[in-house]
Amino acid sequence: MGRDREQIETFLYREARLIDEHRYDEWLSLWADDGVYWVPCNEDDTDPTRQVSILYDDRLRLGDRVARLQSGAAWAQEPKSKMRRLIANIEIEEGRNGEIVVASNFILAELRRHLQNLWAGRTIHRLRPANSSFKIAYKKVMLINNDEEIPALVFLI
Amino acid sequence: MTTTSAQAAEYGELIQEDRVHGRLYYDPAIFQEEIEKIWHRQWVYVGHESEVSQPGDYLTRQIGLQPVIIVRDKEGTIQILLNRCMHRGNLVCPSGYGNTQEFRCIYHGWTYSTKGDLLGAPYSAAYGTSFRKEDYGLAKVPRVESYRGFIFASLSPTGISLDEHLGFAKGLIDQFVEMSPEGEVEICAGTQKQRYRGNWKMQVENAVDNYHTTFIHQTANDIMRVRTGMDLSQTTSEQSPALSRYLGGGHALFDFRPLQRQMGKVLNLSNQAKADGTTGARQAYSEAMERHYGRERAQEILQDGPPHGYIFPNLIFIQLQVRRIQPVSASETSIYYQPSFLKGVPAEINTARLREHEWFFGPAGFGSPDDLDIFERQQLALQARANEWLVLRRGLHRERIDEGGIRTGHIADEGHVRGIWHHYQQLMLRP
Repeated sequence: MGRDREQIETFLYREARLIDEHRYDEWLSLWADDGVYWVPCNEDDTDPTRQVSILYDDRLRLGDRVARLQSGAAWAQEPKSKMRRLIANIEIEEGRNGEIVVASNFILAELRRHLQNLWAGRTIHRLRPANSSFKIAYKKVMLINNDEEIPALVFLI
Repeated sequence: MTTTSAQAAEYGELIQEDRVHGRLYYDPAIFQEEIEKIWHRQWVYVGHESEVSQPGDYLTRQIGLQPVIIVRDKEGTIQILLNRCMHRGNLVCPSGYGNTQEFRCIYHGWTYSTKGDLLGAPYSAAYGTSFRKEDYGLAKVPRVESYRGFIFASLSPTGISLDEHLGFAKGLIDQFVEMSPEGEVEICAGTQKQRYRGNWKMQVENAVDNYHTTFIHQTANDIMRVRTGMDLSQTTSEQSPALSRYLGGGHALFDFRPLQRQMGKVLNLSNQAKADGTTGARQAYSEAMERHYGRERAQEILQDGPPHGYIFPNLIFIQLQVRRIQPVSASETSIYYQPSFLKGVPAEINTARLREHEWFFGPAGFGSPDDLDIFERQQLALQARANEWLVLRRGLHRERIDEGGIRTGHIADEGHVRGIWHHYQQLMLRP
């Protein structure tokens, strides 16, 4: 799985760089049309049909989220946060239907209006091989502070 | 930051008919006085009965700055206990929620029942024969009352009843719970938590400020227009028949019904009914409503939709959500968003309500984080002392007051906000 691993790591690092740098269209192009982007609330493993989430986007809403960020009028991201994140502890498993399940940890330094926030958590990606790369079929971000009073999370995580 | 004596605060001066002073938002002494005179004395919303539905269920909250435990005791009665061991002042119950037979302080093992009675103190012989367990029960919040499942508490042993406090605002709660065919909601779907660096009253004013929606929420309105064809800016326009109302007691609401009746549809900020594929479930919901309320009344309830309003000092109803305000300091506030579930409706309806809620509200929503960002900008701007006043005069020349004392105006006027400030002033002028 040596080559696959390198390919997967390259994909995750690129995704991280795109969102750190607010390159929204390029980031959106990484997504499958039926993709689900999920940040659970209060606990890591909730039933999103019975528990509120911090966000739970289908591809349509994800597109609206990006359009809002691009509008210049999503005020909690004007000015935009300066961000850099590290991704590590990458573990890869075979998923169903040829998908690859990738678990990773992240630390994100986010600076906005003179205040630097530290965000951290664990991410589960389900990646679907497409052409020579992948499409994101599912991304779940489990913040370690998802049951705390957090600042705005209007940037992409 | 300049601090001035709370005793010297002249609330008659700081709150005028058409403006309020910036000090009300940043002065730590005024904040302390608010905690004493409002949060630790008046009725405050603490939670919903469905959050502690079974005997032994508990959760921790704050009333003002005081830590409390809300617990349903063995007999099923809701108790609100101060979360402070009578021995050495440790938190008897660490923050959180769960189910328990008793509360045992981990420091020295003092144990209390779910009614707060001291059950035992280890090695108690050392306290001598005069030690009486009855003297060391957990302190109880002196007044606890509910209205249609919503629990309010007052740390003052005396004062007006909850019924008097709520007054016309009971109608707000009625309208909220009557969205359910069983007339009951459940607060069981988790809590979004957000903190902002600004004063708590900014959230109060914003929750019943319609004037800002066209500006701050332009992006959400644009998305809404594309997805549902609904144009929210017509709510605010000068021609809009929608109203703002001050209900007395510090409570206020928006009345969208005149506009909705004109348009023939409910103005739902996050209306995704077209897209979420719940048509069948909505039909079943509508039929359940008709069975319970009768056809005419059911259609009226559904047509009118949920309320939008504020119950002094910390409870907000917007669409399907219950929002609590928790002051932290003069310049810091926590907000808790809890989407409600309707009892007696298909599960898909409640799931759709979650997605509708997340669309606009919470730390990652398309609307409310922008409001909270504005509060932080206000807090920074209020350090500029050239002109210390915040203007509150929209509609001053045209508000109407009826015999019941309800003050009504155009939805984007500010008569209702002036009413809230007047109530605040009355409370703060008391000794």
